[in-house]
Amino acid sequence: MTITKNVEKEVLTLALEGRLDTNTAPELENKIAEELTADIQTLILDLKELEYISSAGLRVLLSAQKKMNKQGSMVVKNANEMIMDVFQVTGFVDILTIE
Amino acid sequence: MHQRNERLINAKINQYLVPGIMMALSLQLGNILDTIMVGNFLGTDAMTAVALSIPVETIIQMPGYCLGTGGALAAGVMLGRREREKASGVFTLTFFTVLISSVLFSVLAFFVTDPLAQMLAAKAGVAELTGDYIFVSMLGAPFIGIGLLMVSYLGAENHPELSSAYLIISNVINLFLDFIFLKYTPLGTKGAALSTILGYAVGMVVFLKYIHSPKRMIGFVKAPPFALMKEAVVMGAPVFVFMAMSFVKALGLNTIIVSLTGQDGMAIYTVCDNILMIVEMLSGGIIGIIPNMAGILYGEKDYYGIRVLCKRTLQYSFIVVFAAVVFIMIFTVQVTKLFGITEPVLQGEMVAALRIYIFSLPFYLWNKFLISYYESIEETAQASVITFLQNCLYILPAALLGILLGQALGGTGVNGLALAFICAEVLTAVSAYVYRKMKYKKSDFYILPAENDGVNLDFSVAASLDEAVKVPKEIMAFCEENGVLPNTANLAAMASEEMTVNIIKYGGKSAQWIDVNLSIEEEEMRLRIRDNGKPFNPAEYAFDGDGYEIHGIELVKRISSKIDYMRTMDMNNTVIAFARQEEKNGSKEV
Repeated sequence: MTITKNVEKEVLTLALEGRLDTNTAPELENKIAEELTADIQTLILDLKELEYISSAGLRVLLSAQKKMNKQGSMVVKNANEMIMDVFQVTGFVDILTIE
Repeated sequence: MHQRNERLINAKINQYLVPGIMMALSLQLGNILDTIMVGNFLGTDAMTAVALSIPVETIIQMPGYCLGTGGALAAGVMLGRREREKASGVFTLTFFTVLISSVLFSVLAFFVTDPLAQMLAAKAGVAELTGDYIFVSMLGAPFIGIGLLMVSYLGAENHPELSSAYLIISNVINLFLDFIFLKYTPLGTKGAALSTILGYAVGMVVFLKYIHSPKRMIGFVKAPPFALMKEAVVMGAPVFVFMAMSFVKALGLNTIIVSLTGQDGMAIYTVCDNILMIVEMLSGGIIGIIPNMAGILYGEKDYYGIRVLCKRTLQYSFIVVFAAVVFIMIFTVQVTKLFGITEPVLQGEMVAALRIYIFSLPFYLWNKFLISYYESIEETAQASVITFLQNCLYILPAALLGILLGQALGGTGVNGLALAFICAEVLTAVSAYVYRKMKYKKSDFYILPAENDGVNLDFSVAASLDEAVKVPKEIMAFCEENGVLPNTANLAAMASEEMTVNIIKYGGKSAQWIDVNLSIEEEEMRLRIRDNGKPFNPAEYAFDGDGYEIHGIELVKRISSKIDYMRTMDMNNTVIAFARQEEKNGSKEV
C-alpha cells in the first residue's frame, strides 16, 4: 500500500493506494500516529485509489475517528463502490463522515 | 486456479489411524488371544468350545456396543450444539441401561448357561467346556458392557489417547492372565473367559483419570428425560443391525459346520475366522476412519475430499490385505501351529483350507468398505443390503452347499467350506454392483458427483500472516473470472481474510495448514475454511463492544448470510454463505 501525505495548515490529507489489509494496516496506523500532531484539526482520508479493505483496516479507521473526535473531525472521501458497500454492510456509514 | 492440497485430510487420516486400529483391536484381540492360548494350552476341543460360545459373547457385548456407539454419536452432535446438559442426559441414561442389562446377564448366568451350552455345543461334544466359558463371560457382563460404552464416549469427547490406553491395558492384562490361568491353573475355559473379564475390569482405571479430568464435558445428571434415550437408540440402530446379523451368521455357521463336519471342521473354521479377525483388526481399523471423516465431508458437499479419503483408506487397507495373503501363503503351517494345531492330518486339512480361504479377504474388505462408505453418505439402504447379503443371504447357503459338494467329491468338506467364503464375498460384491447400477445407472461406486457442486476454487495455505493476505486476492481473482459481482466477491474476500487471520492468531501450534474452498453456485456462494487448530465456533461467538470497536468475527457475521460450524476429528470446519439473489436481480448474471 502507498500512503501519500499532504498537510495544508491544520488539515492533514492521507491518500491511500492499494490494499488496506492485515499486513498493511499497521503502516497506516503508524503513519497516523506520526503525522497527527496536536495542531491538526481535520483528517481527510482519500480512498480513491484504495482497492480493498479488511477489518484490520476498518479498525485503523475507527481508531483515527476516535482520536479526531477529541481534536477535530475526520472525513473519508472518494471510496469506491466496493468499499462503500463494506461501510454500508458494517454500519460504518453511521460512524464515519463519508463524502 | 490452485490445486487442492491434500495435506490436511491426509494428516487427519494418519492421526486417526492408530486409534481406529486400536478400536478394532478392542473388539477382536481378546477373542483371538483367547483362541490362540486356549488352542495351545487346552487343545482343539477347548478351542472349538470357545468358538461355539461366540453367539453368546455377541449378545453380551450388544448393549454396551450399541448404546455406547449410538449414545456417543448423539452426545457428540449435542456437544456440537453446546447442549452439554442433554449430552450428559444421554450419557446417564445409556450408562445405567447398560449397567442394569449387564447385571441381568450376570444373574441369568446361573439359570441359562447349561441349556445354552447344550444348544450350541452338544453336537460337537464340548457342551461342558462351552458352558464354563459362557458362565464366566455372562457373570462378568457388567465389565464388558461398561467398558465398551465408555470407550465410545471417550471418542466423542476427543480423548482417543485414553481409549487407546484403556484398550492396551485391558488387552495386555488379558494376554498375561490367559497365560497364567491356562498354563498354571486347572480353570480350563473358565480361565480364558476370566482373563478377558479381568482385563476389562483393570483397564477401567483409565476411566478414573477421565472422570477427574477438568476438560470433561459429559457427566452424570439427575433424572434426565427418558426421551433422550431415543436419540441413542436411533443412532445405534445400524450397529444393532450389524451385531444381530453377526449373531445370526455365527449361530448359523456354527450349526452347519458342527452338524456336517464335526469338531475338526469347527476347529478349521475357527482358525480361518481368527485370521479374518486379525486382518480386520488392521484393515477394518483403517476403514473405520471413513464413518468419522466421510460424514463431515459429505455434509460439506466436499466430494473431492471424500474421494481422497476413500482412495487413501483403500490403498492402506489393500496393502495390509496383500501382505496378509502373502504371509499366510508362505507361513501357513506356522499359522496353524500358532493356534496349537499339531496333529498331522488335521494340520494338513487346515493348511489347504486356509490357502483357499485367504482369497476371500480382498472381497471381504471391499464389501466392508462399501458398507462403511454408504452409511457415511446416507445411502443406508445400500449399506443395509450389502450387510444382509454378506452376513446372511449368501454365506449360510454357500457354506452348506460347499461342505456337501466337498463331501460328495470324497473330501471332508472343509475345502468346500473355504471356497464358500470366497463365493459368498464375490456374490455380495457383484450383487452390490448390480443393485447400484439399477438404482444409479451411470454412476461409479462413489455415487456422488466427481466434482463439487458449482464452480470451485480449492487451495491450502500455510498458517502465516504473509500467506493469509494471499487468500482474499485468490478469492477476488476467482470471483472475477466467474462473473461474480465485485461487491459480493469483496465480502467473501474480507471474510476469508478474517477467518484465516483468526486461525493464525488464536489457533495455536497445531494450526499449521488451512484448507480454503470457495463454491460459486447460482443462488449463493459458500466459503469453507478448515483448520486443525484449537476448537473455535464462530457461529456461537459473541463480542460485546461499543459502536467504536470492531471485531473480525462479528464483521464476518454481519457481511455473510449464514455461518455453519462443525468440529469433527479435531478440525474446525466453518462454512460461510453469501447470498447471490441481489446479483441475480441486478444487471449481471453468472
